This record gives sequence, C-alpha cells and structure tokens, in this order.
Amino acid sequence: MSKRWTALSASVRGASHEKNGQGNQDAVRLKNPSGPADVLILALADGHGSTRSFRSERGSAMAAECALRELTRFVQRLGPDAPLSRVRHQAQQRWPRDLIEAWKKAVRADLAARPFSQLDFAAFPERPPILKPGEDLPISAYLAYGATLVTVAITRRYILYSQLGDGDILSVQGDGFVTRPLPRQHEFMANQTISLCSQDAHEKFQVRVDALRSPSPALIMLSTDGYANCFGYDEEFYQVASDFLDYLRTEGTGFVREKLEGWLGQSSHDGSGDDITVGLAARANALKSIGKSTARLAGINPSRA
Amino acid sequence: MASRPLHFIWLADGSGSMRVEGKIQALNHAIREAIPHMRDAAQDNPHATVFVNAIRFADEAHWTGDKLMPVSEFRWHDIEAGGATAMGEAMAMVGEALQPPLMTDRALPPVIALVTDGLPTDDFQAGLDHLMSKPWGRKALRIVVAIGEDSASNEAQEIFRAFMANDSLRPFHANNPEALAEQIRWVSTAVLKSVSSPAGQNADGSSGWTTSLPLLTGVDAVGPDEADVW
Repeated sequence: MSKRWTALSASVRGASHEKNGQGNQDAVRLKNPSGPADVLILALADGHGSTRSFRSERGSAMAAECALRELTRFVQRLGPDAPLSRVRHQAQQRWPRDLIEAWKKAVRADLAARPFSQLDFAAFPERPPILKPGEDLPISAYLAYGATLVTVAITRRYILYSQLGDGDILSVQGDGFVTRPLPRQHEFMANQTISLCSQDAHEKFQVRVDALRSPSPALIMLSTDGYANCFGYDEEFYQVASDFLDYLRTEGTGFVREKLEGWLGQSSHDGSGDDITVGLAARANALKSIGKSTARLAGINPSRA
Repeated sequence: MASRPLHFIWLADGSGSMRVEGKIQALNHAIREAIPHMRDAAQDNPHATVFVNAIRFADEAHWTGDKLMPVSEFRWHDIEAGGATAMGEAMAMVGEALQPPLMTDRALPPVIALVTDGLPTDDFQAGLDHLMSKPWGRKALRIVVAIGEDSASNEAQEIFRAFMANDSLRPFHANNPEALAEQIRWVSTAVLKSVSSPAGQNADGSSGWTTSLPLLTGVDAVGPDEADVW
C-alpha cells in the first residue's frame, strides 16, 4: 500500500557561523511512515549557540532525538483509535513532560560522560555544576545545552503540532493558502526565546491536535528561526512554503530533496546568516502534478542552487 | 531574501551647557568622524542592514532626519547648543519610534546611544518609563557617553544607570575632545559589530545582546588627566 504522507528535510550551517568557525547548532530527525497506518514524525531543534549555551550543538541533537523517540511512544501508547479529546488532553499534559524529562536525562548522561571543566565556566561567576546522584542540576547546566524545538506527528487520524520557543510551523492548503497552526509568539524577538532549559518549560509548550479530515493540509513546513529571519515580512515567508508545494507537485520530491540544502544555504548567505533547517511533510494525494512550476522560492533562483 | 534590520539611534544633548568649552563642536566632530567607521563595520556583516538616525534634545526633542536612513546614506548635520535638557522627552520619542512599522519582529536589538554632559531638566523618569514600556525599548542596548565633570556626579550616574538598566554596563566617560572621539568611535564600531552579529539566542532571561558583548565594559578614557578640559 502506498504511503499517505512523505517527509524530507535539510539543515545547513549558517553563513555567519561558517565565518566565525561555529558549527551548525540545528538538528533534525524524521521518521517516514512505513505504511498507511504508520506515523510520520518531524522534529527540528535549534541550539542557542550563545556563550552560555556552549554545548547547544549537542543539546539540539539530543532534543531532536528525544522528540522523535518520545513522540513515537506517545502515539503508540494512545493506540490507533483513541478519542481525539483524549489525544488532545494527553498532548497538552503528558507529551511536554515526557519530552523535557527525556531531554534532561540525555543531558545528565552526556554530563556524566563529559563533565564541565573549570575552563567551560571561566567567564561566568558560578562554579561548573557537578552531577550528583539524586540531585537535579541547576539551570545553568541545562542552559549549556539549550535548544528550542518544533515537531509534528501525523497519524492516520490526526496531526499533532508542538512548539517550544522560536521557530515556525506553516500549513499549506492545496490551493496554496498558508496558515500557522500555532499562533506566532511575538515576544520571541531580539534573539530571546524560551527553550527546553527554561524553568517550567513543560508549561510553555504550544500544542495543537487537528483531526485529519478534509480539508487537510497539502504540506506542513517546519523551520528553525534562521529561515523566517531571511524574510522581511511574514507574507514573503509564507510564499516560500507555497512555492515548496508547487515544486513538489511539478518537479517531484526527489528534485526538492536534492535541491533543498542548496536553497537553504543560499538563503542563509543572502539573508539571516543563521543556521537553517527545514522539514517538509507532504500529503501524497495532494502532490498530483499541475504542470510546470511557477514557484520562485522568494528570491532563490533554482538554476543557481 | 532580506538581511535583518538594525537601528542605531543617537540621542545627542544640544542643551546650553554643551556650548561651554567647545563640547558641542567636539560632539559634532566625533560623530561625523565616526560615520565612515560605522559604514565599514556595517559592511563587514552582510546579514544585517544598519539604519542610523538621531534625536537632538534641548528645550525640546526632535529627530534630526529620516528615521529609516541606511548607514550608507546617513550624514551628520551639525547640531547647535542652546536651551534646556529635554532628555526625558527624547527617551519617550525614541520609545514611540521603536514600534511597527519601523521595527519588525525580525529586527536585531536596536542600539540607543545617549551622549550628554549633564542632567535632564524635564521629567526624565516619565520619558524613561515610556521607553521601557515598549518591548523594543526594553530589549535595546542602551549605552551612555558622558561628557565632562558634571556628568560624573552621583545624580548623573544614577540617571545613567537607570537608563542602561544593566549591572554589567557603565557609562563611557570623556573629559576632552580626543577621549570623546575615541569613545564615540568605539560605540559606533565595536558595539555596532557585536550587536549585528549576535552570538546566538538567549534563554536565560538576559537581553538579546548581553552574552555576545564581552567588550561592553568600555574602553579606557583616552589622554592623561592633565588633558582634561571638561
């Protein structure tokens, strides 16, 4: 049987990070469904990359890994026929706690293997936190690994969107109309954000569960904030999501998969300079060819990429 | 594709006391000389588009030109000194400006550089409160270049601390024209460079720029004490 949804992704190191020798602080993990009844999962994490978050490259990789694993468990635990009211309640209450717990556990395991050195904290007033049995770590330890997270899980019956901190999730209808399943949080400006390391982070998750029925999205685009920051206005950013759908329909997923990294690299170079990660989840029966592409990817010339 | 906008705003004291000992001439000269360095600093980072504008405050506060002026086109028009020190009005005015449409969510934290030789004569606190009531006012990097002996008084220092609202910052002090030129140039270049290239996101409750600005303790005042003229 054919798959109902297909996911693809790419992640590029920011042009300014290449210049200053910093690695890509973003991470992405995806799980394509093995069949029509299986779940699709996309998880994108964005490590802070600031002086305080000197291990955020590892922290974002852990975040994406944990999200993939915990979301898979979450969906399996609920089973295929759980009432949506129960899915929504569990998605609000349980999923954020499970994720934070898993990420913090991964941080502690990493710290056990690689304790902080005096040098790591030389620029800060406090001493390097030490892992002690039975004691939680201070915020400063988790801040070293700090990362934001956007995820989507698509089952046969519902779509679960979740977000902690900055980053974007866009939903594109078959006619190209773009919406945000989760409202934009305008307080995330001037490079400030909440994240997995924030106090009571589980309470700050944005979560939404939609029944998967007509009109369901043709495409869901997840991206780290480096992508939206390449565009002056939301309208331009929305256009790129619509353009992706156009390319998927006219040129196919193979073409987009092949070109995506180049497009994102060009965007970082010409725009924000930040790391950029994009995940695309496309509904198979919405990708019927509609003829030659008119997409322009908001300034990207595909022939250059 | 678009780089991220960064607004750099001078708040320049044009009060009567700036007429004494050539302070206003030194301020005009210092900022004019710093502009090419600002352009160079801005060019080094293609991922930020730097806009420069200024407010002169004396009896009243006024923008000296277009609020959305790219650094490449910015020209410093010499300001004159005379009148009172409407610093509070200048604060409120910049607070009003730091909102849409001038500011978008994707802007970098703006820089507000206050250059003054003394104390406000209007309701400074009301102006500051207005500035800080705006999200971009709170997130801005607010720095002070203090001119002359009077600006070193406890009262003035208290005002500056309230404006900067950050324990890791102190005002840059200048007691002669050379020191003023040096401080202004540093503010125009090193600060601009750091803010336009944020080292990353902050999730520790700090402002967007603090962890990426290790240099913000300032530069030492230039020139020996005997060279002090203000």
